[in-house]
Amino acid sequence: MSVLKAGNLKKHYTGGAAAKALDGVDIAVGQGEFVSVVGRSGSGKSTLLHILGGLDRPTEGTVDINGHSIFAMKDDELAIFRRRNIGFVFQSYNLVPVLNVEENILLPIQLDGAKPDKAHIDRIIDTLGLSEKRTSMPNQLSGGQQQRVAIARALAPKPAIILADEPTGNLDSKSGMDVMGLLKASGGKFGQTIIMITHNPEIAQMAGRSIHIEDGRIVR
Amino acid sequence: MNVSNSAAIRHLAFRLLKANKLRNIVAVVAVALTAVLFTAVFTLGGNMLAAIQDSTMRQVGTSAHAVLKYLTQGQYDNFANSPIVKDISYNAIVGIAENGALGKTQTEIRYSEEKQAKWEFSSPTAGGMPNRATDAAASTLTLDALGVPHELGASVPLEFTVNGKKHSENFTLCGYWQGDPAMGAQQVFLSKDYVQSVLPDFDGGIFAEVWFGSSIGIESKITSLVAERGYSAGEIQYGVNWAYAGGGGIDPSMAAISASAILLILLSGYLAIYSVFAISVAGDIHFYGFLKTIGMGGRQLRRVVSTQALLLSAIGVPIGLAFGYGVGCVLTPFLLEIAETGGVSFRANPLIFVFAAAFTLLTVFAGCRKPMKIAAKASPVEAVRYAEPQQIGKTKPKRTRAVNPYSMALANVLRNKRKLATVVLSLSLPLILLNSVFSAVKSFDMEKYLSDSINSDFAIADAGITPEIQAHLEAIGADISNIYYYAGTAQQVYGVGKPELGLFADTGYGKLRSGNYAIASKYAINMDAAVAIPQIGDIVTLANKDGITRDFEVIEVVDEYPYAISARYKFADCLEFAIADEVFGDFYGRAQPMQTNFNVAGDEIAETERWLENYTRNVNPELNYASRGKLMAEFGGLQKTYAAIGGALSFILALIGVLNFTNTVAASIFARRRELAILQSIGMAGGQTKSMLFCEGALYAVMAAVFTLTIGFGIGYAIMQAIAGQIWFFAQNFTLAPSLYCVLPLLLICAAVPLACCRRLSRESIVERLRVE
Repeated sequence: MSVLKAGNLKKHYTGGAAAKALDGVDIAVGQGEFVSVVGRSGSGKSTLLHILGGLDRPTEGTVDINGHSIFAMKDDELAIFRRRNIGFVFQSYNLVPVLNVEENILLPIQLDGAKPDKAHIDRIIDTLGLSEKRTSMPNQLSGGQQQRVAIARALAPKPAIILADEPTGNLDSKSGMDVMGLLKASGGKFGQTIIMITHNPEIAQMAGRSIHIEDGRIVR
Repeated sequence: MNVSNSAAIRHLAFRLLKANKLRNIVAVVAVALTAVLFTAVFTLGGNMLAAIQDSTMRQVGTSAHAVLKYLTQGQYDNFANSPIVKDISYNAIVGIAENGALGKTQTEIRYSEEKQAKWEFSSPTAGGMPNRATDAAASTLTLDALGVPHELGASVPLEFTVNGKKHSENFTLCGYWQGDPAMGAQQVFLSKDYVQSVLPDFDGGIFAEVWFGSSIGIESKITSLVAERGYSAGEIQYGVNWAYAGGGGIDPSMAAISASAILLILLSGYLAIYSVFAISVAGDIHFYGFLKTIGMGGRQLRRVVSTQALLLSAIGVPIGLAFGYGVGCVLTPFLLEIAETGGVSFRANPLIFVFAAAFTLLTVFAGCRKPMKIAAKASPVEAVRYAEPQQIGKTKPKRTRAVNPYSMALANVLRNKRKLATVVLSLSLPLILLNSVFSAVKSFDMEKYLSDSINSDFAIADAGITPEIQAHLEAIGADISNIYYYAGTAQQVYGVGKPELGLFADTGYGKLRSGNYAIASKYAINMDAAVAIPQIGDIVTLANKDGITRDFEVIEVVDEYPYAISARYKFADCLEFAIADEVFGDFYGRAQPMQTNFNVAGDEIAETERWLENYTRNVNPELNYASRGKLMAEFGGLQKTYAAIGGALSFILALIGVLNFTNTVAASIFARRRELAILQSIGMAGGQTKSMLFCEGALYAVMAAVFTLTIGFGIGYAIMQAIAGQIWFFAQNFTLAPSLYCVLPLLLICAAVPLACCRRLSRESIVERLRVE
């Protein structure tokens, strides 16, 4: 059964720099699947990820996550849906600088007013090797450590899907491979569905399936 | 190595200015508001000083730096030739006018050079100085007292005694000028020919007034002048114009208030300008780093920032000076009214603008110092990574706490403690000032004010009781009492009745009426410590105008004869005595009372006030009266004046504070727009974002309020202490109410600004904001 299903997604920009960032994309991702989206710069892969995560609205088309049509929701409903069902991992980590590691990880759960599942959180922190860094502030961490915190934050609310946008883009190749290993391992361990954007073929190969996108269309 | 790069730096500075339009507006407004405050305060202070100096000069009777007394013609010529003397002129005193009609208008008869007459504020405005032996020029107050019309050619009768010989002559009025009641004595000038005919060679009675190159150190200048001309100490008598001494009558608490005002403005301006430039440099830091990569040095980067500051000041300062001058013009008349200097017209001294501009520039460059340092230190590599500084000092691990929009707001506010301090202080300063001003106004004690100014329902001074008033008062059954007054040589004597005596003395009226006793006052303007204050039991000799003397035993010594029933002026080196009114009449003659006090029945007060108001307006406009009602209105006016000046300054400070807050908060939210987008992407709802930002703004307001109510309380209290020394009708009554009233508007402003920024941000989509580098 598909966790995520997108049909005929189009994103057209009008005005001065008129362009078709997405031009009729159909995609379906099953439970626990690890999918990489590969494409050159400007191919539309980031736009696809933003629309799949409900950060941007398409010109046309639908996105269903766990049977919910996300663009039928109002902005605030969508924000709540996002924090319960979608985890994001960005290229530049994007941790909140005033919160420590553990607070950053718990943030989506606490924004929801929910009580964190302590055992689950501890397992995530252990898996990502952050046990020693629970109280550290983001600016005390290396790039690789910060990205591991971002992955932990994405996993914490047990979302239906994790969307990762070039998660290793800012890391050296060793840290990049480490982070990828942890992302894949924790995804497997927690039965998590992951869609990852990358332009690095080596990283893309670590996913179970790769989708290639060019000029806003899926080519294979 | 010196290279000529000013043009390149100016060019860069211009480009940066062009690229930061909003920053420029905020900076120009901050600079202009600071200049407004400095100009307004300097205008107020400068005019106040000038007014006090002017009024002191009028009291002293001259604007010259010093006077050399009792010179012979030879001595005068000797002094006139001294290179130390910049200008000199003289007069010679003939005597005091003895006409009965001049009993209350002390008039001195002199020959005076025209130049000196001008220095003494007694230069004819109609006609001219006397030339012919029969000519006389006089003050209008003397003419009024003599009943002589203000017409050239009118006959002026004068009686005076020279060397024991009485003269009684009629002169022809050749000139007159508006007499100033603030002056100790009025003048009548006669021609040189006439004066020399009665007083050959002026008989060693020449008074020479001297100007030096500057008014600094007059005392030592005159001492060296006397020595330089070959006279020994004590051979020549001289006096120094005390209007020029020690700031012209500004006392230490007044100086402390002025210094605090200047510091307050400096601080407020500094905070705003610092914020604007700190934020702007932080925003441009990548560019500064880039400039370093292409070879620009730290000093050159400093100049890029300082040139921008200078260019923005070039716009802001003139605007501020113009507005500040306007504010000063509006407020000065109020202040001069309080200072009771009267008669001094408003003036625009160019120094006001020079000082205001200099202080504003000082504030601008103090505010820019740190941002200039940051720009200069921009490292080519680090600058690329530079974001708003997170915290001062090292980041330490932090205990995990529950996170919600409110705790995040607190963490955000505490993120940059320097910024927090800047904004909180900036918002607190106007509140502290406002609080102090309104506490001061609330502390004005009306009872004290009234009791020192009037001790009856109504008072009519200067022998003003006319038969009509007398008849009216008798008709309504008013309770009348009179105070009599005589000013003799080194003596001011009051004749008081039973009700007035009870106001200031313990001695019974019966004892005083025996005619053997007098009450002395400790208060004397003791210029050269020449006056010995009488003690109880001393015998004092009082003299009347016929030169007859009578001895009185001092039965009581009071601190001060009450102002409300006094002549309202005191002479230097002069003692005050009070004797019974009946004894006064026997000894000094049955003259018109100096002041008549009367009380009327409660229900007659309003009607009497109306009657007097109408009488003094329509029937006898020359007459003035005082009443409790009028003084209460005057008191209200005084409170309003203080509130207006303090309120206006607080308002401008508040504008600077709000500007600083708005700029800082808006810049901070704008700089965090990516961070806010991330929070939204991981599920922070719009409402939660708004709550967080609202809470951040409210926290600034709450912290400003807490600061104002704690540390600000201490500062305000200290300001109050300084004011208390300044105002005699002051009963300390410190209040925090104005600050409390301001908390709600402050909270609204502080909450509205972040919300407005939030609304502005939401015009950009999350994705657009996520892309921001």
